[in-house]
Amino acid sequence: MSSDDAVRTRVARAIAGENLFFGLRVNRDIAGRLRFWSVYSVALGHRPLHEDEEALLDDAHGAQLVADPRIWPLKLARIVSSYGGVLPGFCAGMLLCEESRLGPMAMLHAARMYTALGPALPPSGDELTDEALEAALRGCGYDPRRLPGFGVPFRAEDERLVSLHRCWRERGRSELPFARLYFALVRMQAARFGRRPNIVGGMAAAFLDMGFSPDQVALVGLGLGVAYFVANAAEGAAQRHPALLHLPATAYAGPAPRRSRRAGG
Amino acid sequence: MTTPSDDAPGPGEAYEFPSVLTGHVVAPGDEPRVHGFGVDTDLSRHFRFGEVVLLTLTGEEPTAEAGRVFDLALMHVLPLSVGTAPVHATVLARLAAGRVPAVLGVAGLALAEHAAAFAEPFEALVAWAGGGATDAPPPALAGREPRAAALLAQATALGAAPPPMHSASLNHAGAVLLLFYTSGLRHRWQVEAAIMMAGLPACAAEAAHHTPMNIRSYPLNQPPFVYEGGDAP
Repeated sequence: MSSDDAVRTRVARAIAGENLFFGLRVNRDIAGRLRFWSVYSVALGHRPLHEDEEALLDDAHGAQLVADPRIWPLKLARIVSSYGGVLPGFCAGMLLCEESRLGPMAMLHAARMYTALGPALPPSGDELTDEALEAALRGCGYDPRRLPGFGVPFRAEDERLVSLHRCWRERGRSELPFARLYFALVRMQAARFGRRPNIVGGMAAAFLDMGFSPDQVALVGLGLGVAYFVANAAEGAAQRHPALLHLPATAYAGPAPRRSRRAGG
Repeated sequence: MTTPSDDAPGPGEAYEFPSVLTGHVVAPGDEPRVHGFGVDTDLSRHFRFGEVVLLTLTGEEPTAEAGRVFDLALMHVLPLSVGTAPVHATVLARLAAGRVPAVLGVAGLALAEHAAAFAEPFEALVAWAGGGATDAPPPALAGREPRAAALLAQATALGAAPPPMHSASLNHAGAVLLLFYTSGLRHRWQVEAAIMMAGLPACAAEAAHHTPMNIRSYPLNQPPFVYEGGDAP
């Protein structure tokens, strides 16, 4: 095998007495110097974050914490962990989120929309009118009545956004470009279609303003989701609840009993 | 903003949801039934395992010829060697001292990805074969490979001839997918499930040949990795 066939990696290499990580040295540059979200950011191929960016990620991590075990991805984690293993449940729940509109990676679709809209919008400084926004959305192939990051199932508004909006303003980051676009969309969606935003769209805009790409935004979502998947997988594994191993409340709606042709039916 | 009490109704209480989970394939009971056919008194007495798998995937009683062609297709997706990603991953899981469910879970995950990649051109093949295969096959499935020709000849000898037009210009993957089509599968998820199932024995059996934590037995530098960390961000 020639060196051209080698697997090239930016991620890491272990050397004598040190570990390299995306061009950084762990002992010299990371340990004791970078906080969790900065290391996570570097792991996504991005830069270490500024203090206010790390703080807003901490804020978002708290604000988006909805861990009700009845929510589909979390219930999935719960079911699989009911055999007693935490990680199978955790992995099953996380696996469901790949490119899904449910769960922490759902930010991908909203982030892609924001970045697609950017070049279609009026020059910076101009007011983002509802008409301009709607035209830009249609120009990018989006139906303004069905935007990712909008729509709040089962309730009037997304309670998680209340905290996120407050933190966003307090951190002084609510006037950044993608934040402005988000709030303009919120205004337009409410006025035109009576639709409310959910936290997916808000977080996607906030993270794009940190310089993450849409794919990186989705993977930030993965980091945000760890706590509620771990919580449900750990409790599920500890409980081994029989109703999750074999759900009693089931019905059968398939074909009625029948005999095969080979059996003389 | 007021703080609601812990027992305030939430979204889960605000709407009416079904009280039961409805199934459509297996009816439980003293004698389980698959799509209505009794396992104990019918399927296990009159059908081979591959035929029951096919019946489960399609909901229809297969002909004997379709069952044989399905078996043949399964045999051609079963032999995954140690270098293939599903087996390699399963071996690595075993070496890392994973407990058996974790090792098999890794196998299942890798097999699902492998099956998805293998079956990716299936919809194009369905359109091609369903149209009589009068044109050249989809590019991803085209190629004159002796093993593909031998497989199609074997299927023809079993009595379930695949669509003849241009089938000789299929590569091996195309021939296998054509056999899945000929056996009655029409949806990609059916093919993916079949490929995944067929690949599991090789993954599990190969992993069992490796000793957990035997670090020196594994070729750590195959393939070689080259670090290109570049400048610090």
